[in-house]
Amino acid sequence: MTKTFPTLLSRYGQMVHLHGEGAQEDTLCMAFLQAVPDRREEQRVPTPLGLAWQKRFLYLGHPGGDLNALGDKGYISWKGGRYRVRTAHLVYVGQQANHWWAMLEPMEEAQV
Amino acid sequence: MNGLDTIRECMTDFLCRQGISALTAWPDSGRVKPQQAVAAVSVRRCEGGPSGFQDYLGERYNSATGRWEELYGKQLTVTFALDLYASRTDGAAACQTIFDTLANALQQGGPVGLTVQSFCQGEVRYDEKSGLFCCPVEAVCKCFLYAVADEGGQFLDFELKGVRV
Repeated sequence: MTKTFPTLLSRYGQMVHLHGEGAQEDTLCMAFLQAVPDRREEQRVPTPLGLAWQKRFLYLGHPGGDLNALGDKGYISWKGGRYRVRTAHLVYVGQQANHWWAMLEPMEEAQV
Repeated sequence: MNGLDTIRECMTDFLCRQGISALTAWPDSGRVKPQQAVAAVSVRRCEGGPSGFQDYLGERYNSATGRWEELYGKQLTVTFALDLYASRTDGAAACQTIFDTLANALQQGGPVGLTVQSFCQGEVRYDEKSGLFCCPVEAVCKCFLYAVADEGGQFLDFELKGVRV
């Protein structure tokens, strides 16, 4: 399992960019990044501050890309989109860290 | 035309001029992440009441047309929702900071055409879904909404006192 997942990542995964908060260096790593389809919810719902995305993305990434280190202002970018980490967990298989599991949401544009 | 069309925008513009980041609530555009705590302006309640006999307020002479016009109107009590939102990074204290500024602004009288009667602040709470702190704020204002009728009784225009729409 611990060798299978990296093989699958390298063959079928996406190259994503981890942007840390502040002066931290950015990191490139491989991950599976896919939208979580939900036919029950609208993609964008009205809020007092404007239309908000309800879309969620599942992230399964290389254990070397520490998502907890991104910080509150860090984000992940892929194919021109930017995503904020809502929740992230490092998943172990036996004694070895196997992958990062995370739920992402589209990042809102910062107001100028 | 309803003179209340732009009442939210009037309050929003007033708050912005006072240095408070504000927007008219429920815009059709996409939500942007606020760089600082922001006030979302909406009308929570509007109540109208008589201000004259059968809403008759009196007459005025229009020098441009050379004719007398009759004024009819109501006194309105408008309760604005000025709910404050702050990001998780800025923290709940940012809501209190912006409220202090907002309270100073409202104590100075409010927008033209609106008289601030009272305002109140609720408890700050955190909305997990939006990732924002929210502090409910209400401001109760009084204003006059009146219509002008010509000598034949035909209504010419609607105005919110102090604001021509």
